[in-house]
Amino acid sequence: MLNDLWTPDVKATQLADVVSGVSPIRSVVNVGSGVADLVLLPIAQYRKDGRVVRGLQKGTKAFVRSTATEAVKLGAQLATGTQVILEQAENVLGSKFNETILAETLPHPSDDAMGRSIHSASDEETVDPISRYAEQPVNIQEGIQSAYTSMRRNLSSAAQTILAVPMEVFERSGSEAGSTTPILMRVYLPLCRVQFVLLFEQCRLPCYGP
Amino acid sequence: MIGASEAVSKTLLGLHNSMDPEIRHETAAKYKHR
Repeated sequence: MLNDLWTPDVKATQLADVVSGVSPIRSVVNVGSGVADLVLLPIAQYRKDGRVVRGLQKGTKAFVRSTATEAVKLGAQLATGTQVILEQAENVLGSKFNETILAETLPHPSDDAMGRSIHSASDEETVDPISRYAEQPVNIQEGIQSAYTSMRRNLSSAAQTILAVPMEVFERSGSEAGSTTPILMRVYLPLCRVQFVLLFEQCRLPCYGP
Repeated sequence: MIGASEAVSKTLLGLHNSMDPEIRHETAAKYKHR
């Protein structure tokens, strides 16, 4: 009884909104409405005052805008997905220096982690993971800025790993010769996470060895 | 590689948000904040 009364109403008024709210369908709907604008806006403009060119301009503008927005959104999701896959591949392959790298590729390392002290950087593992899409950059300038920050962080992480491999070998070979060098390295290794300059210091460290 | 894809995604998210400012309110409601 209730079903008979309610179902047509739901179908008539709510179904379209719910369906177009599902995110993959929504992209299609957005592009579709852009295409519809391309056709309908010139017609509406023509009916209003007969200026076809102006209507065509408006329609094309709306179409390009919605299509470009969807394309950018798709690109961003693709890039984020790639990032997630690569990070998981890195975790699966499990480099030897997992503990140092993990601190930087955690779900959400904050962008200012570089500037903080060593103690707060090591605390980051306890932070609750939040979505990668959370705290998005609000405009293009901020986007480029955070892109630059994350690029720098990842590059320094990569450089650190590359430099740390020979260091580990050196540490193993030098451990029977002198006991001070491994301790020295344990101090230097976390330090270079914070300051990129210290990496070069670490490079020179083998020269001081026994 | 990871850094490059992260940088691309950040840039595109920024571009997306600057193209359509309404989305900001939507994402603010949708995701957790730190």
